[in-house]
Formats: sequence, structure tokens, C-alpha cells
Amino acid sequence: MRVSMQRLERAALAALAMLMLLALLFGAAPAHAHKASDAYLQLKRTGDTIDLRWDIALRDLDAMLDLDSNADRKLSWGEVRTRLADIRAYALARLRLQQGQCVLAEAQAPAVEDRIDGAYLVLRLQAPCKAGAALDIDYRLFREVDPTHRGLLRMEAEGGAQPTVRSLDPSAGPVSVPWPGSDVAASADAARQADGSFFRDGIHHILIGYDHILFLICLLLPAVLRRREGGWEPVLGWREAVWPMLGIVTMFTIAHSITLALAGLKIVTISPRIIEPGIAITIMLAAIDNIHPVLRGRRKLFSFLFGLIHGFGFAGALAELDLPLRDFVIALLQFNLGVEAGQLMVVAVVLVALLALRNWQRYPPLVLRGGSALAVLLAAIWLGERVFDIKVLPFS
Amino acid sequence: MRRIASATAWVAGAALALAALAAHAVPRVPASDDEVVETLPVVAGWSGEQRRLRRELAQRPNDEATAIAAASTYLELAREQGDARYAGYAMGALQAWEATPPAQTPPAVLVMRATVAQFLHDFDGAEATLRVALARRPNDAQAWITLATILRVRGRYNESDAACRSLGRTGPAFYGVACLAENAGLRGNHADARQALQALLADPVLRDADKAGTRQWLLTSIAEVEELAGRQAEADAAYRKAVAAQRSGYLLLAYSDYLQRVGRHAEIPKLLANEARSDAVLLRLAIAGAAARDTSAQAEADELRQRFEAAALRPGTTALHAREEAMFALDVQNDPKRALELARLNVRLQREPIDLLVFARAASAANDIAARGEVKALMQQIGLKDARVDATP
Repeated sequence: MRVSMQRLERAALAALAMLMLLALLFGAAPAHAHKASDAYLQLKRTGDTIDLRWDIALRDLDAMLDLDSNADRKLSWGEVRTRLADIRAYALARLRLQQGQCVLAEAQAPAVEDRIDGAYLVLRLQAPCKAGAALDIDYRLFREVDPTHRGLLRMEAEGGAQPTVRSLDPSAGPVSVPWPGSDVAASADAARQADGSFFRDGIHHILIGYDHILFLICLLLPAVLRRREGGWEPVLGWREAVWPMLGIVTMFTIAHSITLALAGLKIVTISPRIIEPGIAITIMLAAIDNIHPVLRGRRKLFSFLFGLIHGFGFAGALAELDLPLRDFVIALLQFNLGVEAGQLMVVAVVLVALLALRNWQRYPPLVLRGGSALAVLLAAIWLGERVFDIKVLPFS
Repeated sequence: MRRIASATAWVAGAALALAALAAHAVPRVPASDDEVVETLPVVAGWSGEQRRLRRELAQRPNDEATAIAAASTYLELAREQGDARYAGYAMGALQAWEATPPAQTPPAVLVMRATVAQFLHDFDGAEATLRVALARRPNDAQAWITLATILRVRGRYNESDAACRSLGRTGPAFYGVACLAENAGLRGNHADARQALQALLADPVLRDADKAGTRQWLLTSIAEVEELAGRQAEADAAYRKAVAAQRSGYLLLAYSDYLQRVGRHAEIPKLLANEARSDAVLLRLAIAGAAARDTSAQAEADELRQRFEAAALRPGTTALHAREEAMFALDVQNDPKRALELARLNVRLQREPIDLLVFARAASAANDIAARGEVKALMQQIGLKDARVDATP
């Protein structure tokens, strides 16, 4: 009996010792936090020469290479200076440019920079490197001590193009980063640049977004006509067509700007499996309304509601971005302005063409009804494609 | 026109952010070898300990016990200093199993990895890892308690209850009871929560000097329940008993926030005087200084702002310090709009009472009726009841 009591007590003590450890976990929302480990790489190309300034935190270098030789928890410049050869060898073995074709060598003596989270060793390096459109970078610094480390890269070329900024993950393997201002940079992975290419992306997106254009055309087709008992007659002056049209396009714009922002900032997200078929349905409804009124004349209201759906569609192109909030909002704004500009071009061209055609006798049966019927058919096929995830048409 | 103007402003902002990356123009070459260029964190016995761990880890990176010991030592340093860098090192200590499928990774390594992920606010990753570990080792009390905590932070109280009950089954009942009591307090069952925590506290075993940490933790939990119930005097009493039992970083921050709320900001600098200057500590000092219109706290505010700016240079990390940045924008920079934006972003990641409270206060300060509705809806969805939010105008 006595023995088992003792055992019980010991078990209780052991349990409580464990509790001490566990208690650390309670209320565990951590006191967050100095920033994680970052290094800063500033690359600059001049002709066939690349200059690199590489700032590496001394605390990280100490963790890897034990710089604090007298173990007094203070790094003197002497302790760092005497180990420069090791530091250089360690760092340079973990950064390869162009599969090792561009070999970095020291251009200036190492120095020190104080940043907000501590002192950094500054390596100033140079490599002869044939000018190309992109640079292959294989970055593996601190891969073995800290998988959360990142190299924050800023690439600059001659010619005044906005520098490219991106974060290098030491575990992710080599990446190819386009030089700013190069053709590759303009077309590829524009999302990674904060250089205004989002505006072009926005224009591009609406111009190749046949579904958005078709929707706009469906809205525009009846704009040059007005309903008269049971039929249509052409408007007299262009103003009569432009003003109502402007109202409709404005509602569409406001609505899709709202949802583009909501989706872009990830405040509201709706799966493309719902949105993409939804866009096809909006086209069908707008087109059917041209043939037989189903929207009860409330086209502005429906332009707004449909615009909400299209905005989520636009956001799809931006959704993959992983930018800091600050840059993200700029990107979003540029992208949206691009979409508006592209939309304005489409509206202008189509409206001019339709105005020219409006007095043609066959406009109501052929252009309006025929065009709308074609739009319904096309949108129905898209709807099928998007619901069943199949491909029928070569474009979408 | 206005749109173009605001676009210009944004572009200018971006240019500034870019410039910040390049800002440090001329680095210096120290004149003398004796110049101290960097101070490493000083923790008693740490230097030798760290070297020993590093050496052992280098020799036996695949040894489970060595790797876990190194990881937990680094994580402890990260907690103590409030410094995410050392949590990164903790992750690094576990790298031998990085490429191993979770189903073949030792469960203890998985639990450690999840604990570090939790510290780094990777709650999804931590939860998934814990579930794999628990599927293979359902009696791991540490895994259950961590899971219960993560689910609570995310506002999934029913699932957290289930984890608490599993914890109660696998470990001594004590943990399970405390775990459930915390959830009860969040749901507004204050009397039940209070009673359960008081009963645990009354256990004579806890009177020993070496149980001070446990007493402190229970008292902090009681203080938090009283705050949720809107009983300020009782909360204050519990906080003071907790501080007298043992000081912990979490407790001191919670008590600082309490003092700030009840207008006793003058007491905060003294309370935090000996704490490591983590972002969270600096934030409380800056807020207290702003409330007191004390210009000497400007240094803290400036340093914190620079830290946030430096952290913002790394893409995709805004959400990780959105709670602190929202509080900073609200209570130091007087920018309720930005505070609201950040608070909204933050509650997508973590939904503790403090997060909802900041969200509610930002919505109120920004005079945003829709946002107030969002707060209400979210609290209803979670099932969180908080007298402080109800009292927010």
C-alpha cells in the first residue's frame, strides 16, 4: 500500500514537471517577433559586368561559422576580419550565377552596415557576365541552418527600367530572373515586378478575355437602337446612344472594381469553378435580353450585378501573387486601370462601328438578334466547357 | 483624376519601398579590430550550450534526440527574445527529415516541427503535421495540447474541445480540465470556467515553490476569463497574483494591455522594464507613450516602425505581424483606416479575443459600420463572447 502511494506521488510529480513544459504552449500566441533571417542582394549590371552588394547578418554568420572566438557574446571587428576568408568561401559556395559561368570575385573590401535588426557584413563583389535577358540564380545561403531564411534580391540594369525585386528561397533550387527592361521581363512573370507592367497586364487581360469583350458587345448591341412598340428604331444622334451606354459601362466598371479589389486583397474569395461558369451565364442573359426582354429594362442594375461576377474573373489573373500588402495594392490599382483602359478601347471601337451601322434596315434582325443568338450559343458552349471542365472551342 | 492622383501616390510609395532596399548607401569599414560590431543574445549558459548542440547536431544530424533538443533550445531562445530568427534555426535543426514523408518521420520530430510552425504562425502547416503525428501516436499529450491551442487561436472551439478531451484521456486529467475551461471562458460560460480554474489552483500540490509557473499560468487564464466577463477589478487582482507568482512574457503583455485599457498606461514601462525588446514589448511601450503624450516613447515608436518596414521587404509576410501593426496603426499612428485593413487581414490568420478586439476598435475608430457588422458576424460564427467588444462604441 505504502509503496503504491509513493509511486503515485512520484507519478504526480513527473506529470507536473511535464506540465511546466506544456504550460509554455498555453496562450501560445507568441510574442512576435523580430524579423526572420534575411540577406540583401543588390545586383547591378553595367555592360558585361555584374556588381553585387551582398549584406549578410553577422548573427547568422556566427551561427554557421562560430565567429565569436572568445565566446564573450560580442563580435569584435577583429573576430570577423580574421575569419573573412572562411566567410567568403562559405557564402560564395552558396551563390551561383548562370550555372557558374559568371564567377564572383571581391571588388572592394568587406564592410559593416547597421540595420534595424542588427549588424550586417557587406560583401562587394563583381563578376564578368555576358549580357542576357535573364539571370540564372542558384541561392542556397544558410540552407543548412535556417530553411526560413530568404535572400531579398533587387536587380537593376542600365536604361532606367524599374528594378526587379524578389525573394530567393535557399531550398527552392535555381531560378531565372529577367533583367528589368528586357523583353523577357516585359512578358514573363510580370507579377513579380512592381514596374507598372500590371497596367499592361490589365489591358492585355481584357483584350484577350473574349468572354469579357463578348459581354460588353452584348451590352452595346442595342445601345444604338431604342425600343418602339414591339420593335426597334435607330437613335437619331450619337449622343442618344452614348449617354445610356456610359451609364451601363460605368455601373459595370464600379462593380468589377469592387470585386476585383475584394478578391485581389483576398477579403472575399470565390472559386473559379463558380465564377467562370457565372461569367458565361451573364453573357447568355445579356444576349437573350437583346432578343427578348428578360431583364425587364433594368440593364444598369444588371450591369452592376454582372460586373460583380466579372470582377472576380479579373482577379484570377492576380490571385497567384504573393506580394506584400503595400505593393499588392499598387499592382491591383494598375491592373484595374489597365482593365478600364482596355475596356474603353473596346467600347469606343464597337460603338463607332455600331453607330455607323444603325440605320441599316437589317440591323435589328441581323446584327442585334443574329449577333445575340450567336453570343448565346458561344456562351452556352463556354458554360458547358467550364462546368464539365472540357475544351471544345480553341479560345475562351 | 483623383484615381490618377492616388495611383501616383501609390507609385511614389512603391518607389520609397524600393529605395528602402537600397537605402543603406555606404557601409563602413571599422577602424579598429577592437570595435564591437555586433552583440549576440546573452542568455545564461547559452553560449556553451549552443556550441555543444551545434557540434552534436553536426556530428549526428539524423539522431532524433539531438535534433529535438537543439530545436527546442533554439525555440526557447526565440520565445525569450521574441525573435523569429531563432525559430528558423529550430526548423533548421530538424532538417534531416525534411525530405522524409510525414508518415515515416518520427512522431516526436513531427510534434516539434509543428510547435515551431505554430510559433511562426504557420497554423495550417502545424495542424496538418500534428494530425499526422497523432494518427500514429494518439497518446501524445503534447501534440493534443498544441493542437487544442492552435484550434482555439483559429476560433474553432468545438474542435478544440475535442482535442482537449483527448488530452484529458491521454495525460493527467488536469490538462484536459484547464484546456476545456479556457474554451468555456471564450464562449461566455464565465462561471464554469472560473470555477474549474480555481479548483485546479486550489490543489495543495501547487503550493510548492517550483510550481510557481503553473500557478502563474492558471492565474493568467483566470484574469483573461474575468476580462472577457467585463469584471475589471477581479481581472486586475488575478493578474497581480500571477505577476507575484512568476513573471512570464505572455503574462506581462496581457497585463500591459489590461492596464492600457483601463487608463493605467503609466504603469506599463515599469512592468516591462526588464523584458527583451521584442516587437510586442516595444509596441506596448510605444502605445503607453502615445497615451501619455510622452515624447521619450517616440524612440520606441520609430524603432518599431523601422522594424515593420524592414519586415515588409520580404514578400508575403504582412499577415504574420498584422496584429502588432494594426495595434501600432490604431494606437500610435492614429491611422484607423490602415489599422482596420490590417486587423481584417489578421483575423483571417488568428482569432483570439485580442484580435477581434483590435478589429472592433479599428472599425469603431474608422467609423465603419460595415466593418463593425463584420466583427459581429465573425464573433457569432466563432462563438466568442467578449464584454470588451460589446463595450466598444
